[in-house]
Amino acid sequence: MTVFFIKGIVSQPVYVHVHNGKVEILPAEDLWGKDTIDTEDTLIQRHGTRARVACIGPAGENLVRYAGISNHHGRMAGRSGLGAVMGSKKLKALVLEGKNKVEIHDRATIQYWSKATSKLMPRGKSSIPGWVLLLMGRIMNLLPINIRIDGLMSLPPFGEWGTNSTNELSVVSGDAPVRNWRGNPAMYPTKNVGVNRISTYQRKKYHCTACPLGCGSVMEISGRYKETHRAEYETVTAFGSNLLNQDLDSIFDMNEYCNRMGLDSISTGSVIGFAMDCYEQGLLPENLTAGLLLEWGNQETISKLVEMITYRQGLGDLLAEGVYRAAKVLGDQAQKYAIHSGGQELPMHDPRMDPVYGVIYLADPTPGRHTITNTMEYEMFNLWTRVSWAPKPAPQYPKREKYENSQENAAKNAAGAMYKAILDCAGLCLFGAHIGVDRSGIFEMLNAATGLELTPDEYMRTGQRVQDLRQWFNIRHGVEPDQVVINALVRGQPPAVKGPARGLSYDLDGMRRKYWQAMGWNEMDGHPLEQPGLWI
Amino acid sequence: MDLICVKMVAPFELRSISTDGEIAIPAGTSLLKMLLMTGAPLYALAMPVVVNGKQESKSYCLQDGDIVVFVMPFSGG
Ligand code: SF4
Repeated sequence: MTVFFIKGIVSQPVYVHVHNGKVEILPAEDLWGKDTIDTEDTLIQRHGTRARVACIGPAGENLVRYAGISNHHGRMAGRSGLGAVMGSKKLKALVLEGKNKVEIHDRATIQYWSKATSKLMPRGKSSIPGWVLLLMGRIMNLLPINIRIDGLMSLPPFGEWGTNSTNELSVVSGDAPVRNWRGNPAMYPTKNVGVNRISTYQRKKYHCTACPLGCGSVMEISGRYKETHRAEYETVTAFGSNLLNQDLDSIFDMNEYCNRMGLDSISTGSVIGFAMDCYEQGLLPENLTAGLLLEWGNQETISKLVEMITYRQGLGDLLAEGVYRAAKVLGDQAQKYAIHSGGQELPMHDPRMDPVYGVIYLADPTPGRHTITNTMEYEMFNLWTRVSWAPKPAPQYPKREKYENSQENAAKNAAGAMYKAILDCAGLCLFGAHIGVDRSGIFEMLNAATGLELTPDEYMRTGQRVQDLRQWFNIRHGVEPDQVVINALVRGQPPAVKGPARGLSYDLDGMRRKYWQAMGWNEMDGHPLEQPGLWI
Repeated sequence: MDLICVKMVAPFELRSISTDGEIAIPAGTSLLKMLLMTGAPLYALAMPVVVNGKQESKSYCLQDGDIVVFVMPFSGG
């Protein structure tokens, strides 16, 4: 594995070209200002079809704080503003070419697991009607118990519609924020974002290299763009229920625009929701709105705002700073509409419905991250079948147990986070991991790939050290874990009065303490107990 | 009577099922019959099912070694 450290800042735009181990820094003036897809096409034309490109769009160039990095024509490494880091260095792209084969220690074992996993994958087109998914979701919601979901159960809808398979369900269950987190499902009819409607746009399916699940799809759209990657659940929700926007054409258009401009669609939708709330409350000065009607669901305004953010024009310049900084400028009253943790806009999963999100949003080294672990994912990972200390959840248990600040819940959260760190380091897909560690053979495959002979517990220890390192990185850069602040609304303060989250609150500070303890960190300040030594 | 062995992945408890989800049933049993035999909840009858990765109706005749999975949407991602 090769890792690139790019230090320093240049005065004129450049891109880095790596060809069979030879590194060149080349001028990129002609690329500056181009969108991510044009940039990738131009570089592939220049360096050949074997080249792979990671690049930024105008949002990264303009240092929008939530600009991302694009590859494969708009697949975004969206979160945490890494595109702005590239933009600050005037680094437009990284182009990689190479012919070296990936060496594998034990190919037969990899092939064994690869075949075993493929056998479990859904075959043929799923014809499950959208209403059935919704009905099942409603039944689950009504039950006072939590049912442990096996990852195999979610594969058929996931293979067909990807993360969109739960667009509707997430709204009705209260998982998806509505109207900048202050609304409730009754305000947002979901039919327009359901799988039946999504299917009418689906032109062809695709998958990442060698993935047998293949959750990707190209959507045919009308308007200024002809096609887009199927917007993920996060984007559909950030620009849909979060803004009370029911127009799927507009959501897909925003998806493509964000991909091309290199914007994190979660933060972009969130910051617009924040602006709409502030507008409604009279907190946005007229000189900033300049005649724009920031009304809920107004597609023209949404579209205009995204453009203004990308190019930092007018109000867009303030919103390009993200909700945390924008609220500081607008004053105390605006704070409550800024839904963030540690400055990162929150993803589209409400912790009042699953407090594990709250713990992770607040206590992970990257705050506000939804792809670490949650109750359902932990249950799908089946870690207890391999890891000696990972708690096994009961097949059914009262929902209130999710809200308990117990050692067992903390151990599950820590195990989920350590395992996810391993998946990330190995370059594996979180969705694929849903089939369970016993069926995917991840630990066995890692040993086969590397020639190591580590036990699952030892791999988990590696995951723990990765988390330690991430935590120490923050501390070294002056970000103290206990200083991270999350919007009180997602703790249930004040408790919601309507909708599925009505009356729900939980002891998030207590849960954070226990989580840090389970990670082997100081429960009060979040510092890892093991010193970083030479490895930082 | 010939018995076949089927593996069930279901979000509810069934009678006569082993801890790893296996159940022995007479050859020729349909999925519907098996659900009734094992005391599945009523809503299970409305749930979509895939057998060995392929969506099947409840009249599907179970075969030895089948993996029967009840479909549940996952909320995340
Ligand atoms: S690797 Fe993951 S993201 Fe890519 S197609 Fe497969 S399931 Fe989808």
